[in-house]
Amino acid sequence: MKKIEITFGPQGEVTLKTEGFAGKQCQEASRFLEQALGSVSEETLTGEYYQVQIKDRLEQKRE
Amino acid sequence: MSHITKIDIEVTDLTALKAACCRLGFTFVEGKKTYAWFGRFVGDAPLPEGLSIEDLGRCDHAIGVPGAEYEIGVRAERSGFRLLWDSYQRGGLEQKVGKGAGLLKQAYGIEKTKLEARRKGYSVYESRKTDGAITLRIQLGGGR
Repeated sequence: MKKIEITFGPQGEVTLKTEGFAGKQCQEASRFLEQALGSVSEETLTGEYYQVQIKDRLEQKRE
Repeated sequence: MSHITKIDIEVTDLTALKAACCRLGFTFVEGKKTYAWFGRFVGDAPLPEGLSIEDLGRCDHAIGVPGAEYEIGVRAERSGFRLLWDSYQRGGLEQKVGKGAGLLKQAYGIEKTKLEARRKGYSVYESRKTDGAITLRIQLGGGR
């Protein structure tokens, strides 16, 4: 299941996380919210992002 | 988890701001050109960036907060709206909206996210944490 989870802190701080996306899809999927809410001050790519990238590359090599 | 971003909220949508006021029990007064504040700049805090002393107390809309003597001004700017308020304790705003109007920004972010997600046809689920934070889970459907 593809999900976006956004947490709004009581001091106005906002953290957005994505789950279940393949590689760069996560950034594309959440862009509409990031742009609607304001400006991105920090972005961290996580293990799942890189794992999918590696998997894609391996599949490309096999083809 | 694929990626994590931190976002600085910028108010650009009056519909979402009105919904945020409704959520908090505040009153959005459309077209009100002044907001209640101490009324005289005494220099105990820096002027908001890009504004002069004459700009203080002037706005395009105002927000009334129950239990607070002062109001929040909503000033239209080129890229959106700026919130202006006097944090002087006697005005009672900071106790109601949090430091830096954090609770109003939180409510705005929630309402803006719901509007945008529903516009795309996504389901949104809200849950509250014990520390006052509120989480929205948006399901976009489908697996990989």
